[in-house]
Order: sequence, then structure tokens, then C-alpha cells
Amino acid sequence: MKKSIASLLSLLLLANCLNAQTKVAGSIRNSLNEPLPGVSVHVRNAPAGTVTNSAGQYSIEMPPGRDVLIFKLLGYSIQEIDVAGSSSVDVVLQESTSGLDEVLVVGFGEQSKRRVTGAISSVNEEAFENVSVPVFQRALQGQMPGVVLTNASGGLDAESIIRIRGTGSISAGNQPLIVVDGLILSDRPGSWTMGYPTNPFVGINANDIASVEVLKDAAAAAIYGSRGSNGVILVTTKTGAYHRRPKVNIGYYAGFSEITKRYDLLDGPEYAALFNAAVVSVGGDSSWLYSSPATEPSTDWQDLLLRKGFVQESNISVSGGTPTTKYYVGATFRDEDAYLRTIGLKRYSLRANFGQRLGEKVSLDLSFNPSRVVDQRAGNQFKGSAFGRATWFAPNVNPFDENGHITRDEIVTSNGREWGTANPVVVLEDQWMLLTTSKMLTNANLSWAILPKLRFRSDFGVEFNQEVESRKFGEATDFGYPDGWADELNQQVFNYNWSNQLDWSIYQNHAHEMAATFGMQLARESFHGSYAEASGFPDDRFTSLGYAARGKDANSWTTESAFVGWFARVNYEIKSKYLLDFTARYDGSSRFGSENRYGFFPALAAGWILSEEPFFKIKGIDFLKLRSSIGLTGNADIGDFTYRSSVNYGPEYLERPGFIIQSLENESLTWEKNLQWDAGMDFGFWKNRLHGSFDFFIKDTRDLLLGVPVPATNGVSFLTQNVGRVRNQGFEFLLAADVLRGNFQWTIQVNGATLKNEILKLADNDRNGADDDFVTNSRMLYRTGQSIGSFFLVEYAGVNPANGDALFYNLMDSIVTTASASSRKIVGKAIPSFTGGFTNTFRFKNFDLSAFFHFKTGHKIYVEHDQLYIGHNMASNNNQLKSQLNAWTEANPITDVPQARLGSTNGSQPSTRYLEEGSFLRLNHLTFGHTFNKLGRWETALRVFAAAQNLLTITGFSSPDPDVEFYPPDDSGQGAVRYNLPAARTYTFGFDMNF
Amino acid sequence: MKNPAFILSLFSVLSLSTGCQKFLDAPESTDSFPIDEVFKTADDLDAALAGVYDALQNGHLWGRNLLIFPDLIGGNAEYTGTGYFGLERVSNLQMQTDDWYAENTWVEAYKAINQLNAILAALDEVEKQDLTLTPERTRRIAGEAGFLRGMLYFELVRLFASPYGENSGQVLGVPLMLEPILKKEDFQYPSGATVEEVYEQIRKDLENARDSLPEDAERGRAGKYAATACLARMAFQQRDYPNAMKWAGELLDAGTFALAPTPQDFFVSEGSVEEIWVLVNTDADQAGGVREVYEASRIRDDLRTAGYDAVVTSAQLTSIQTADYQVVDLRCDPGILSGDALIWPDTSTKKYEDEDGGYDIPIARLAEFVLMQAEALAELNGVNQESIDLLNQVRQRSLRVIDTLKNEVPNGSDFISFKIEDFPDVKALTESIYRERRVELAFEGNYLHDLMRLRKHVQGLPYDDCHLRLPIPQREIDANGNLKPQHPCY
Repeated sequence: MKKSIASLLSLLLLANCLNAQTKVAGSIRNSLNEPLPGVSVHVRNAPAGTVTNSAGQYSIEMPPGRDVLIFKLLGYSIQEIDVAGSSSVDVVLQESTSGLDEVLVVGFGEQSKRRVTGAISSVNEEAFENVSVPVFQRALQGQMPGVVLTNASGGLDAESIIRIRGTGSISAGNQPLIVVDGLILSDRPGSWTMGYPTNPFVGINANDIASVEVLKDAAAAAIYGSRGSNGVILVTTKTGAYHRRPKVNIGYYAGFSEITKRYDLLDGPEYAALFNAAVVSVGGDSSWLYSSPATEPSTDWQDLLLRKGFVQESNISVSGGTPTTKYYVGATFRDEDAYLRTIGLKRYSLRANFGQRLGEKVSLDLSFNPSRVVDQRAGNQFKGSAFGRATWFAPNVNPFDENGHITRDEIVTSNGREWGTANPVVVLEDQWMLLTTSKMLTNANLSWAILPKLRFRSDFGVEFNQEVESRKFGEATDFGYPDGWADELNQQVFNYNWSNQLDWSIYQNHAHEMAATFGMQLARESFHGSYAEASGFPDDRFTSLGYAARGKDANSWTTESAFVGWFARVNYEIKSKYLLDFTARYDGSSRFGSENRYGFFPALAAGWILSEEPFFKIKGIDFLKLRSSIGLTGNADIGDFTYRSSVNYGPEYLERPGFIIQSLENESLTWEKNLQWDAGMDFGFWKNRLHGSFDFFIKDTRDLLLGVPVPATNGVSFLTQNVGRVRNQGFEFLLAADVLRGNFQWTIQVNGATLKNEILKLADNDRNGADDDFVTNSRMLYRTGQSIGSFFLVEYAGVNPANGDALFYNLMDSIVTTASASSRKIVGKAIPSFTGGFTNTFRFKNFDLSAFFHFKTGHKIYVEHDQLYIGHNMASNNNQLKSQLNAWTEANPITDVPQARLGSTNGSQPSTRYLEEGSFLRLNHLTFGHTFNKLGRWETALRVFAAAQNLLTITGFSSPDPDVEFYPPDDSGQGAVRYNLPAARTYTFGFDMNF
Repeated sequence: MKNPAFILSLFSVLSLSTGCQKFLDAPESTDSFPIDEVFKTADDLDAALAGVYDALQNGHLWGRNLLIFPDLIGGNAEYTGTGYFGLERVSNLQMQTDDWYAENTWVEAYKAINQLNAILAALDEVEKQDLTLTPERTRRIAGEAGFLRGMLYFELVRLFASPYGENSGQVLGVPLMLEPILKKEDFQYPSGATVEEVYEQIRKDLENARDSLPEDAERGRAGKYAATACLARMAFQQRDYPNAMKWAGELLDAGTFALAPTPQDFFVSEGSVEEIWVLVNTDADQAGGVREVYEASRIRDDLRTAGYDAVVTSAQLTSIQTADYQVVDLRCDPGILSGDALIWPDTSTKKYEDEDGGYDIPIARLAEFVLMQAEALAELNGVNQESIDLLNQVRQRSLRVIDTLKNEVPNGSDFISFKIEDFPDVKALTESIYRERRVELAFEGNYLHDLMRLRKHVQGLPYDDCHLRLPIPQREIDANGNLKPQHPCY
């Protein structure tokens, strides 16, 4: 480091020795008369160039015979001015309205939209305005083509499953890399208890976000090398600006929420009648029969768990700057009570971004973002969760005691059957789960303009994340019986990145422009967790482990990883119309075996701005760019030390330590490689009334990190190997149109993406010459030639009208009564083939109305809770869905619900009976607002609004929510729902004030 | 700009990267070691054995599944709880090929077997390197590893394969894995060995173990008599009554074991005189869940009507009642006499409710072999006094005759003891022994195996009905093309 400073200093001295010719100087301001720093000023057809200083001033030597200056700043229209004979030229730059000069963050730099050759989607802060989301990712749902988001649950804290351009990996992670202001965040999922993982980014405040860019193709993501192949989400937070008076923003909204859809279940009398039928049909013990089903009591357990949720969020921020300092300080408090009783989330966050100029050439940026989220949880996605329980628990009981309190005694139905387990309300009320996530993101950035064309940057970022989850299960619950049980999980992630780079504007004139970035980055992450549990509490109110009589288990674990990478990017532009970009990264990681520790990830991209060609001056076409790229990225998300064989210590016998073989070695294990080709087009027509982009891509994932199931007789059940290939290909479009301009404005924005996923190659472990299929969860097939996550099920053939037997097709398409595993066939896929969203925005005077829909189609969802519990025509004594009333009887022979038979399997084998189309269209949010301009002495702009989310869902899917999915989607739950909490329908009202 | 300063500064950025190799090597896994760093010393081998013992305590092996399958499938109890999802399918004979319990039992058993194979394979090499591996220690380690492997195969073949019988030489049992798999080149895709071959391997392993293991093994570890017990059990399962008698006789004559004074004793006091082998749970162990399963299960009526209520014959009952006495079965009547009963009449068993919660896992206790000896003798010699005496020993410690003041009647045992004239034929005797075994050994993982051996109906199905066997896991058949589902049901 010292050496580098020395050499850069020597460079500075050199720069001062340049000789002088005719000199032009002046200042550059915007239309608000604010000085514009950083404007590039160069001489047409000559190499000379400079940039404006913090006061917007420039000074440049004009070479002999040259007299036109070009002024460029991202976000502003380019100006060319003849300065012949003048020595002082002041310029006012107009802000660009086409959007093409909008700046995109591209990873270790920025570029104008006009010149970007990779496939990058972006949204700005507007995407987060007026949208009530507990976690920032959810606001991205359906906003960008090819960026598909599914929630692990409608719970407030649930992980958002994001797939960018499909699913490339089977066993490695598919979640994109998330980078906040240059800091690569840990890819570790959040706390993972009670059925689903929490979102580790829950502390990131959407109000602080200025823009989100998603790097989709290899050209864009190759700068992130071995971690780029799932796509990269770049989050840029708001900053102040030098020379700007303070701006204050105060926002508040509040509202209420409710469940979007409930389960349609039998009431008490219906349940008792169906139960009787199920007993009779199997010749069961007549003492079990309800003597008078019609007079059975009725309890709607869902009613007892649900409520009207409440949400409020207040947000204040101040930003601005002096000539040498800029700042943004934002604070948010969010308080949300979900529609499920007892659960809620409180988020406190503060962000302070500062910039300080240290002289003309050096600036220092610092940002701090502490946040704390207190999340009162409840489980879901399993049968024993309160929400799951509410569906299958006996409805024909009176759960209240004489005082009107919910009983904590065992529930017994009138036929004398004991339920042997806590009722749903007790499970909700007596299970106390609190997850506290404390997160600190810190960045320090030093920027040094060594020469007008050479800049050195050093970025140091630290992420610290701590999750503490305390759970307590009361005496009356199943987990807590008989005297209470509690545990505590504590996980800490410490992750730092340090990158150093040189940005060199090699030359810049009208004909040629070339810039390069070189740098290196170090990243290190360590993770530590501990766990303890105890039981035997004197009283249900105690939650701390120390008060328990018995401590049963304590554990801790730790792991680390390191990455080191060197990267380079060269951008070359000829005559503002031919673009050529080269990006590469050489990356090493401790996650890979010693034989394959380093990889090289290059990408090449080219663009042609057709609309700049003289022969292409077609009226109406303002802008048209063709671009194409090809490149390689990697996926390193396979966990630490997977390449090593391991024996795990921890087992003991007679209190002497022992070990057990856990996994076998594979020193050659390395990253997945992703070869991606992209061809696209960006355009703007009719004064930009219609603009957008098209992309076509083929993304081949090679050397798949595959956890191949192997016969467990080998002592291990899986082996992670680099074998196999998967292709994702698709077409993406984004169209934005100003249908009406003027007093009444109407804009439409539509985006969509198709996706075709195909496995091209899998392992051949038994060496029989053919790729081995493998099946997970007995129903998801991985087979060469098919989509990842193909459903592999026996086809349901309905009900035999003669006797009520469930029928299935065997492989010869004959109808049989057994659902044999050997009759399974491919019956659909879990990955949607077409996804997207569209927004209509209307503005009239100061009123605005916008409606945003998103959709997914072309996929199926397996409704596991129906099969196992509530849609199996009373195979067990669980309560059933109303649809099961249609079960076969002699009086109702034509039906697709088999005869109800208690204690026997009649149609509840896994089959296509439980596989449904997952397509849906959802009115994601609807906002109506009014803006009052220039109120009072501070000329306050005040906007008031009303918004609704998930107001309407159009779908044929029978279960509550088609837009949630089990997590992890590449594991046991792929393509399935099982008691996932559905999304909330939320109505909010609020205001936003700026002065 | 093509000046040396630029090159220099570029170089300086790159020079930050010296030591990058170190940076990448720095993360260390302190939570696990590679395989080739273990299996090096005698202590490693003992740690590997401890790892296997720990695995046996796992809920998928003796911690739960191996103890509950025979009683749930056999029909002693029905799981009615919710904590163990899908376990009701096991007791209702509705398992499917992806049954979680069957699959995990398979996976965990072979995981343990692989490690045992690794221990056995490493012994020679370690003996050369490590002087602390004395011949005596080698024998013990080899004996324990072989014994545990034999035990695991015995459980696997009984639960997953056709019951032992005349055609066992033709019927596929389970795959026999005898060599360690330590790297991916070692992988095997076995098609399975016949039932006969599996039994033969078990016999070899257990006989070697019996010859190598010390008589006075540490409590909780396999010793000579644990091996003898399993040999007896295996011969019995094969209806090889001479060998069953030989091995059971060795236990009875060892002088080390005796029936404890009460049936509770073995379950509540550590190191009971009746104990042949248990897996010891200490404070460091997590219970595998057998207790929780039985807490949430209900006893099937059949266990009462054909079991507890039938243990005392109607003739015996009449004579007791005529004398104005009452009979108490300490195994099932709650608390009339001091001490808890092992079975509550309508809920579940107390066999896993040690006072401190850290109950040991019962694997072999003398009562089983007393009854085994009685039955084997009867099978070989017909109705005979020795068999009846053995049967009476077991009855006398549990069946107590009391008067109206709840005092034990001095000659009470006469009322409940069998006499030779009670049995018109050997069938009547073996039925009585079978019924006694069912009651005595209920909830200890025995019942289904008795039904299979005696070829009786199980929950109304013939003993060889495939629904009574655990399905070979679908994941295994999907992963191993050579393995075919041998059960027509699945």
C-alpha cells in the first residue's frame, strides 16, 4: 500500500509539468443555477480533456486549430459549444429527459444507460414509494423482466426467493448476490426454525434506497466473477449532494391488513357427518360414530387465529451539502402486526451517508447503517404450526371453558375421541418466538483523482449481522409438554470486503472514448452460531433458559470463507455509436478444492447505436441500440468446505467423544460455470413516448454442483460433484409508453419474460452409459432433457363410480387401483414459463392513480397439505376442505373425490390429484394520491395517498396463495405449498412531505 | 498516459495480492476433519466406535424406530399423536415407499455399517503404527465392530426383507456391505444378498464377536454375553431351536444374570442384575424419542384382551376368586401395590420413564432368554417340566396374588403357576409362552418378530404379507438401478 501511494505521488508531480496553450475557463451550472461538479469537458477531435471541480469550474487548454468544446455529464444532455476567441465560457446543462443518460450502477463503477452493453434492469426509488413492504425485496416483485420473486411465505419476515433468468443450479444456491453500496452481503440465509427461513436483509430500509440495478447477463455480472452467475442485485442508497440546501422528507403511512384467502373448511356438523360416513364405509367401530352429527357444535379455528392486522411506518430524512460536505441521514420506524394474532415485526433503522472533500482531488465517503428488527414469529409450513393446525383440528368442539377462555385441556369430541394435542389457539398463544436481528452495514470509500483521467478508489465495507432467536413453548403445547421447553439460537455473521481500483479514462474525444477499470477485491466471512435448550420451567412466564430445571443440549459451530479476485473492465466507444466492452475477473475461493482454487471469468460485449448512423435517421426513432454479449460467470454458493471429506465430531458415547463419517472428499470440486449469451435492443420512439428493451438469452450452467443422491448403502446419501449442465433460455421485454401526455397523462409500463429450462446433462455414477435420473422427495424428477423440478407423479384417474375407489393410470394408461411408484411419470414442471408485470399510471392535474399487476404462468404447484391432511377424503380424523363433501357415495357416484374411508388410503397417495395449475394474475398494488405544491413559507410539497396491496388475485389455484413456495425451492419442497402463510391484503393511507 | 507511473500504480494494486494464497488458506474448518486424518490410531478407532454407538442411540435406530416398529406394526399399540408426522401410517400399515421412518432407518443403519467397516479395515494398518493397539485391544475393537455390524444387519433383514423361512436362500434380503466406502471411487451399486446370506453374515460376525469380546465389558458396551444374546435371538428367529437353546442356555448358566425381583427393576435401576446389554443414555445424550412416541400412542385392545387379560387363565382366575383373593400383574396394573406399573391400561408404557428422564435403551435382558429357553425346550422336547418352570419364574415375579387387605398371599404363586397337566399338548404350552413373551417384552421391539417366527397373522394379515415389512426406500431404488423393490405392495 505504501508503495502504491508513493508511486501515485510521483505521478502527480509529472502531471504538473504539462505546458500551456490557449486557455478557456468557465463554470457549469444546471437549470437551478447550481454548480455541477464532475462534468467532463473535452475538445472535439483532440485528446485534451478535463472535469469540473467542486464549484463547477473548469479550465482547459485548447490545442491549435481546435475550437469546439464538448460538455458531458450523466443525466444531462450533451452540449457542444464553439468557443473560438473566447477565454471564458459559462454553460448551463439541461437535465436529460430521455432517460438514456440516466446513470446505472454497474458494479465497481457507473455507466449511462445509453452506452450500457450488458443486460441490466433497474428501478429507482419510486419503486419503493407508497408500497408497504416489510422487506425491501418484495417491492421488486414483477418489476423487472426476468427477475422472478416468490416469497417463502406471506409471513412478515419470510425469505424472498429470487430467480434471475431461471434456475441454473440444482444443488448450489440460486439466490442472486446482493451488493449494497459496493459491499457484497453474506449469502447465508437467515434463522431457519419453525418451518421457513427468515430474510436476513429485513433490516435494510426501503426508504433509503435510491436505486436497484439487477445485473442479468454475463457481461454485466462477470465483474463479480465466481459469484455472479445467479445475477447480482446492486442496491444503491441515497446520498446528499455538494452545494445543495437541506432537503427534508417526512413520510408516514398507516393501515390495516387481512389474510388474502382462507381455507374453506367443513363446519362441525359437516365434519361429523363425513366422519360418520368414513367410519361406516370401513366397517369401523360403531362407538366412534357421532350420534347426531347435525347438532354438533362448530368452531372456526381460523377465526380464532386471524385478526385485522395493523401497520404503520414513519420515515424522516434530511439530505444536502456544503461545498465540501454532503450528507444524507434517514431514519425509519416500522411497526406491523400481522393478520395472524400475536405475530408482528418492528424495525428501527438509521442510515447516515457522508461525503467529505479533502481538497480538490480527494474525497472520502462514509456510511453507517445500523438497524434492528424485532420479529415476533409463529411457525408455518408444517402441520403442527398454529396456522396449519387450524385447518385440520376438530371443528366440532367448543373450545371455551365456562369463563369464556380458550381451554388448555385436551380436546375431546363428543364421540369420545381424544385429540391428544394442543389446539391451534394454544399453539399460537403459548408459543413465544422472538427473533431479533441486529445489522450494521458500514462503508468507507476513498476516492483520489490522481490525474484528471486517473482515479484511485479504495472501498472498505463491513457487514455485521446478529440474529438471536428465543423460543419458549408453554406447558400446554406439544413441544412444551409437560413443564415447558425453551431454546435460544444465536448466529453472527461478520463479513468484510476490501477493494482497490484504478479508473482510467484512457482517452476521450469525439471519435474515440476509452476507459478502463482495474482492481482487486478481498472478501472474508466468518460465521459463528450457538444454541442451547432447556426444559422444566417453574412457570410459563419464564423465558430465559437459566430458570429451567434441566438443560439438555448446548452446541456451537463456526465456519469461514475467503475470496480474492482481480478484475478489469475496458469500455471503448467509437464515434458515440460503436461500443465494445471487455470485462474479466480472476477469482479464488477457499470454498473450493486445492486442485481448482482459481477461475477466470471473462466477458465480451458489443453495441451499435443505430440511431446515430446518418443512414438511419428515421423520423420517430430517437434511439435504437443493438447489443450482444457473451461471457462466463461462476456460482460459488455451495457452502464452506464442501470439497473436503469430513468426519464430524460431536457424537459421544458414555461421555467419551466420538466421530461419524459425514461426507466423502472431492478435491476437484469447483464453481459452477455459467456461459451466457445475450442479444438485446434498447429503443426510444416518438420523442421517447415509447421506449424499452428486448433481450434474448441462452444461459448454460456447466459443471453443475450437484448433490447427487447415491445409494445410502455406501454410508453417505449424497455426493457433491461438478457434473451436469442446465440451460435456461428466454426472451425478455420491457415497454414503457406515454399513451397520453399533457394535462391528463397516462403511462403504461409492461415487462415480461419467458423461460425455458432444460437439463442437458447429469451424472452417470453407475457408469452404465446413460445419465442417472434422480428423484427428490419422491416426486421431483431430475432427468436429462427435462426441466429442473419436473413433477414425477402417478396420474390420478378419478373415482370408480361403482365402489368409490380412487383410480390411477399405470404406464400403459390402463386404469388401476394402486398408485405404484413405478407408474410415476412426468406431469408438469414447477418453474413458470412466463412471468412479468404491468403498471398503469394516470395523472390528472395533481391527482395520480397507479395500478400494478404481476403474473406467473406455465407452472404447477403441488398442494401437499391437501394430500397429507385436509384433502384426503377423511383418511384420518382431520378436518377436511369443503371440496371433500363431494366424496363418493352411492347417491353421488359421479365425482372425483373418492369414498371417505377412515384410516385407509383411498386416493391420498401422491398423485396428480394434488397437482394444480399455478398461474395467477395479481393486483399487486393500487395507489391513489394527490399532491399539493408549494405550501406555506417553505414551499412544501405534500402528497397524500391511499394504497392497497394484493387487492385481487385471479387464479384457478385452490389453495390460499399461488405466489408462495416452500423454501428451499431446490430441496424437498420444490414446487409445493404446505401451510405457507398467504400474502396479506393491506390498505394504507399516508402522506409524504418534502421541503 | 503510457507512463511508468501508471504501470507502477497498477502494479501496486496488484501487489496487494501477494499473500493471497495465504488469505484463501486461512479459513479453517474447526468443526470437522477429513477422513484421512482419522482412523490412524487406536484412540481414533475407539472414537469411531463411540460415534457408532452414538448413532445407534439415534431416533432412527434404537433411540426410537427399532424399538417402536415391531410393536406398532405388530399391533401392540397405535400411534395417535401429531409430534411424529406420519407415524400413524406405520401403525396403520399405510407406509409408502418414501416413508420417512423407514428411509431414515435404512440410511442411518448403513451409515453406521460403513463406519464399522472402516474400523475393521483399518485395524491391520493401525496395529503396525500404534503400539497402544495391543492384541487385546484389537480383539475388543474388532469384536465390538463386528458385533454392532451383525446387530444392524439383523435388524435390517428382519424389518425390510421377507421373514426367514424355507426359501430364504432364494429371496433377496438387504444389500451386504462389508468393505468401507471412503471415496467416491469406492461406490457400489449392490443388488442385495439373499436372506440366507445375510443371516450367514450375521452369524459369522456375532460368533467372532462372542469369541473376541470380554465377559466383563464396560456397562453399555457390547461384551461377550451381548453377542451370545444376539446369537440366541438370531437362531430363535430362524427357528433353529437347538442353537437358540445353546445360546440362551449360556446366558442362563453364566451366573452373571438373574431375573430381578420385580419387573420394574430393570427399567428403573441402572445395572440391574437382569441386564445383559443396554445402550446407556447419559446427560450428554438426547433421547431418541421412544418415550414421546409411546406417550402419544394408545394400546390396542388386542394387547389387553389377548395379552394381559389372558395371561392368567380363566381356571386360575376362578380359583383365585374362589379364595377371595385378587391377582395383580405388576407389569400392567397401576399402583395397587407399591411401584408404578410398566403399562398403563389405556395409554402407554412406562418402560422409558426413568426418574431422571435419561432412561437407558433396553436391548437385551434375561427374561427374554428365560422364555426363549422355555420355548426352545418345548419345541424340541414337547411338554416338559423344565420349560414350565422357566415360564413360571417369569410369571411369579410379576403376578402377585393379594388378599382383601392388599397383602401378598404367602403361597400366592401356586395360583398362577402352570403345572404340567395344564398343557394337553405342546401347542398349548408354546402358546402360553408366546403370550407371556408378548406381555413381558411389550414395547421393547419384539412383538412383530415373534409373530413372524411363529407365522401368525399380524393385524389380520398373513405373516408374509408385504405390508408388514418396511418398504425399501424409494430414494434408494431411485439412486441404485440394481436394487429392485422386492415387495409387491410398493
